[in-house]
Amino acid sequence: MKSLVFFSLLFSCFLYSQSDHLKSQYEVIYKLKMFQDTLSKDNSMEENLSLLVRGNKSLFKSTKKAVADSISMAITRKSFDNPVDGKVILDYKAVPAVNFKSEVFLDNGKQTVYKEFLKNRFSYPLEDLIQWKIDGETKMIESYLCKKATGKYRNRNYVAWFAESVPIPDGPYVFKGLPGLVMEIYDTGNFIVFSMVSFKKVEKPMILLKDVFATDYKTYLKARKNFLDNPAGAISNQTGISLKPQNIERINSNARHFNNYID
Amino acid sequence: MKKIILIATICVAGFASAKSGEEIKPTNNLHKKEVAKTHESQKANNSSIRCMPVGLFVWCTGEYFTDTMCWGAGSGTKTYEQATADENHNGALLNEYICGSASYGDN
Repeated sequence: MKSLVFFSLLFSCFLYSQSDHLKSQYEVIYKLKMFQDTLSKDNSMEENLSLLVRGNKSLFKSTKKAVADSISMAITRKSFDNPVDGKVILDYKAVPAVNFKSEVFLDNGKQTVYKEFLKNRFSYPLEDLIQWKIDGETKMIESYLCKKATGKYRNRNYVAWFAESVPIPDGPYVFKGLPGLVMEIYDTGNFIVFSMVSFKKVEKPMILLKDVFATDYKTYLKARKNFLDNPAGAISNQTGISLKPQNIERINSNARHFNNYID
Repeated sequence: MKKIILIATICVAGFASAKSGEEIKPTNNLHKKEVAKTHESQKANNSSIRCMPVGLFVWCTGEYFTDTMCWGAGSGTKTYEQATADENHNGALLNEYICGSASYGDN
């Protein structure tokens, strides 16, 4: 009897904790291909990103993020439980790299962009919505007949292909608001390409980033500029760890090469 | 025999708890005792700062960056969990920025 009561309580707690989050009806997986340096197309990266949709709400984020967070925390816990000669060694080789850290939450037409930058998390409302121009051109993507649309976002021109047969006015990142789901979108320089990989009915919790500094785009941009003025100094300040000259050089050099900000 | 041991244990525990109960007397000195207790807990808090050396491994250079993790009242990081999460973040940042993962902090 006691165990029955215990498990009933446990189950109701589980249900309560699960009900805290909005759950998706659909999940669209997009593959992102982007070049890290706008001056060179030698070094590209790819990552799968998830768009969880429920009614007029959606959340766009990397599929790797939650996995990477849980693996790194598991490594940390294990390392702290097993110190070597009284010293804890943290080795994150096994943690998958998350390349795309931005998230976008859409709520009734209003978009909020979330950015992780060093140890800080920013959120800002998207003020300049993309003004789409729908073209008569069509093409097939998988089994979907798609229409072409063009638009400008933060000094880049984009070409989007959307399917009117999927009446979800959504798409990857901030590329939303077309009369059908975006199946493919790329900038005219081909530095950033999102392609739809799958579209399924999936129920997943839509969990927003926590401990976020709500601000505007300008403030976020200023923080990024400050970092780029002295990347190694910013890392040293944030971690409290002093860096050797060769590491300072590495950090500053990398900061110059990874400059393809989607914004 | 087992019953005797059990009874004896209960008795000893009862006496022990009764004895410690004697030390806190609900008398006029109650205020004094409470003050004393506060001092004690502050002292306990101050002495509860714990530190631990941590080596953060950076995979692309093979280096270990030495850091000291502290937690407890007065350390700036309240709990052990917060401190480990902070070290977790430090390690991730060093790897990301020194080794140059694609994200580079913002994509």
